[in-house]
Amino acid sequence: MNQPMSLDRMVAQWMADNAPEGPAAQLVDQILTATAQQRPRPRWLALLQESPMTAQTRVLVGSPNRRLVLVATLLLIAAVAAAAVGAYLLQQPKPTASDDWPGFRGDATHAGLGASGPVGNPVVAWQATVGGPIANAISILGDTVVVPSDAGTLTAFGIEDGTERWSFTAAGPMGAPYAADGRIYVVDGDGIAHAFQASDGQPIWMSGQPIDGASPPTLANGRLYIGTAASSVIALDPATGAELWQAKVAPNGQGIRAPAVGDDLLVAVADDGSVTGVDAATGTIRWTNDIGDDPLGTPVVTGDRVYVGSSSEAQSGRLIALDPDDGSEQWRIDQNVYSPSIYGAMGYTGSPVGTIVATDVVSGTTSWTAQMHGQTRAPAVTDAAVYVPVDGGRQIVALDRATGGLLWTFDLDGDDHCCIAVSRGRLFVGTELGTVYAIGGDGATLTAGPVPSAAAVPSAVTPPSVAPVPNLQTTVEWVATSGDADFVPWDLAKAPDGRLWAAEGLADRFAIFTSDGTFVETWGSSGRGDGQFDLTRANGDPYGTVAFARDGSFFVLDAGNHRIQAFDAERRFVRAWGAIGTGPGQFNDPVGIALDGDGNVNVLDDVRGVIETYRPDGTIVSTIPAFPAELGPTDGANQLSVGPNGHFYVSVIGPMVVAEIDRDGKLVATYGAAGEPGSLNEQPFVMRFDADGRLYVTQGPTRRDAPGVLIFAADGTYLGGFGPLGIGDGDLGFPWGLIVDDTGIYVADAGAAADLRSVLRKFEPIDFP
Amino acid sequence: MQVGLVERARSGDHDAFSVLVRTSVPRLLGAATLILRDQDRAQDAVQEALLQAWRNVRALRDLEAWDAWLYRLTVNACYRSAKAVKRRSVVELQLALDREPVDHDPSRTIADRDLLGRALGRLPVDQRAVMVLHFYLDLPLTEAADVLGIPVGTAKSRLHRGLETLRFAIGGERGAALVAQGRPE
Repeated sequence: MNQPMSLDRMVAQWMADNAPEGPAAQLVDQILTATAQQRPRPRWLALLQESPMTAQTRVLVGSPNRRLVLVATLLLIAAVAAAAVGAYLLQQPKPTASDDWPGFRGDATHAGLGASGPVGNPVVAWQATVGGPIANAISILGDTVVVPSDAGTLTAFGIEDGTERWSFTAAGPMGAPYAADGRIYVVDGDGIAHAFQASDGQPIWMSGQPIDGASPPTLANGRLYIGTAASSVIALDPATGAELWQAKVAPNGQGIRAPAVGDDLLVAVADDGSVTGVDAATGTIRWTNDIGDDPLGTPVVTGDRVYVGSSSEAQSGRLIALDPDDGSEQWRIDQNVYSPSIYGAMGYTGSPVGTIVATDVVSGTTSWTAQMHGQTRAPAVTDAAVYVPVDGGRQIVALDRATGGLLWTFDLDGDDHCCIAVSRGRLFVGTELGTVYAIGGDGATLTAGPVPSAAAVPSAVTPPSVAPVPNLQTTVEWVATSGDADFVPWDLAKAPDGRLWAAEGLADRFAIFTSDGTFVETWGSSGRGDGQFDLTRANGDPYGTVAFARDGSFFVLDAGNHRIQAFDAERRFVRAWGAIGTGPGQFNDPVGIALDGDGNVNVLDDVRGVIETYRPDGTIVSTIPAFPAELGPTDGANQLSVGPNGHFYVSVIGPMVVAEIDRDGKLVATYGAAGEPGSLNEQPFVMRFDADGRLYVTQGPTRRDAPGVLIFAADGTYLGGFGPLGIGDGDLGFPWGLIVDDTGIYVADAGAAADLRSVLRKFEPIDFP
Repeated sequence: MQVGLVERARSGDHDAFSVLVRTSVPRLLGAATLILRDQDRAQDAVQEALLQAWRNVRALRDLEAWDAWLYRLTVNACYRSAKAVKRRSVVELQLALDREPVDHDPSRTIADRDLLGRALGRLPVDQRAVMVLHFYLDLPLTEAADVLGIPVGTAKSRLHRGLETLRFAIGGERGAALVAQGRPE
């Protein structure tokens, strides 16, 4: 009766039988714990990082032609910019704008038009923090600034001094508010719509049923409009929250982006690429234009035109102008730019590749183009200037509206991820770190500089006083490798016998060199036994390293095995301590180890957020916070060092600073903060000190023109740096490990991780004035 | 439902990502364990894949490609893990999978299953990956090829060679009976 099973079926059955069962709860918890400490990369960076994945001709993930697209775009931009028609816009009548900024991209038209921005150079009028990342729009109504956060808070501040007036908290990320008629309208993370009094936050009404996939609300003509994930736009009575009408504008299952309203026309854009014109009073559909292709951005409506650009999620796209009467296409620009902000006859767009394009919206021709590093979000535009958040660059740039010339840049503590608001002579920006900036002006009369271009961006956007360039002279004495084709040194330590131990984290071993760069041997192997190592974190980053005591004994940060292993000077295993966990004596994500003057072993655990001090026998001495509250929210840290003053130094990520922390866990100082001389523009890694107490810090490979090693005096004064990005003997690619002593400066360059050169280099000591 | 979660995750919503992780981990762990034949390394591979997915979620253009992308990230993590094990030559792969399965077919003998399990373990990892995508995750070969980033012809040939190896390994009359039956498409 029984027929022999086919081999195909037999294999399938064997696999079904032998695959592990159960939900792997512990693994899930580990993953969620690790990811909760991080934020997704900005889209432009993710696209650069992630290998493309295609299905037939469709690109599912990443961008196979990302470099080609960028080059082609820049060439096209350069050609078109040559025919700039900047004078044209000067002839246009001045548009008028309210001095409020009600919500997402300004008022209901989404034209991004502000009445007045800062005059002169940017000055922080005030700044404040909210409970979580700010990823949605800020609203301004009268003297009140309303800020949502992903932590579910909605906080109102006084516009003059940032005094907190009221706050509301709900579950999940708070949506973008819309402020009008003395009220604040918002949809919380559970989809419940709320109305509050703007003055005191008193609730007026809340919707009974959640709105699935609610877009930022828009209020116009006495109705509150919200797009939904059910392919619909709903209109609510702003006085009561009662539903007035619902219009289905796309096939089932399509999300609707924030509707824009101009006069009596509401325009809705669906995920499937359709654009629909709806009678704003009745919900009757007037027209539909199925544009399709890549995801579309939010629409903008003016009296003459409807504009739809690319979505911030799209890798390619175009800007299209439609006739508001029938939805027919008037013109299109085949560039991947977002929907424009409109001033008179000019539109100003950002893009995922950092361009800011000024376009004559009558003809569709380009007036000027500026190029930034990063993703340029939707601009806010005033009579004088175009203000643009630059994600990936953590900056706001102000450009002369007529010419595109650079007026100023302002560094933020994190990326904006959304948009900015302009009102009453100030800019308001929220960052991914939960900081709200109110930026005013110093009143100076500014002369616009050159239009930022690809070549000029580093110097124009990051002036030397903020992002330093290599300026210290030192000479390379030698360059060395182990001779292994896979040699990639990460951290670096010097033993009391003068030998250099380069941690080859990916190979779970150490490459040992004499102090003149002669390779001697490798030591260590992969495994979990005594004397075996896993020098990588769970995500594969090679953070394991070694720290030597004066007697030649040493301690290995066996990061992947969540333990410290102690060895004597003859490399004999002595003991190990630690296990995975979050309690005292346990390690969740140990990333740094440093011995102090007492011979104690200090370990920085990134996820536990502590620096734990152990005696050499592994007993705990103390545990202090690694991230003092004054630092605000952080994305973790890379390394730990102990300074000559006994304080801890932690290389913090997001904000990128070196934090000096005393033994009680109090923040003493920061080095390399944004906006200060010697500011870090890449992640800081290893910190070392010379005999005079100067602090040396390595920073990573995306630092652009900044030095690979920055040096600060003991009092925190920035002294300069060395090691321009490159693969030459005197250059530095991905400087990670660092040793500084009276013989010189040793740098482990893990350049292969950034397609650069992996070597050890020794530089001569620097003569400081 | 899932597309909505993916979109929320892409906008940085960690709660949405958490739901996706809970849903995805069992089958990713199953696939990785079958590819690597070592549950500890499989867990590492799945963790690596999902960490990368979170970091680069904004590179995802087609929301419906979420599962396929996770499969790709997981398989690539398995490749790296297998390569590292091979390079280090000091870690013994733990054949922890040869536990007693539930027998759904009385014609199958324990000896057959043992032979099959051992033969699968000896296959090159790229052939095993195709088999896992096709037989365990039920992907058509065209989709398996997309996940692996290889032409479908290459996927077919890997599957073919893998099955031929299994047939040969099982051998004898049992193998002959199997050879006479289904071939891969």
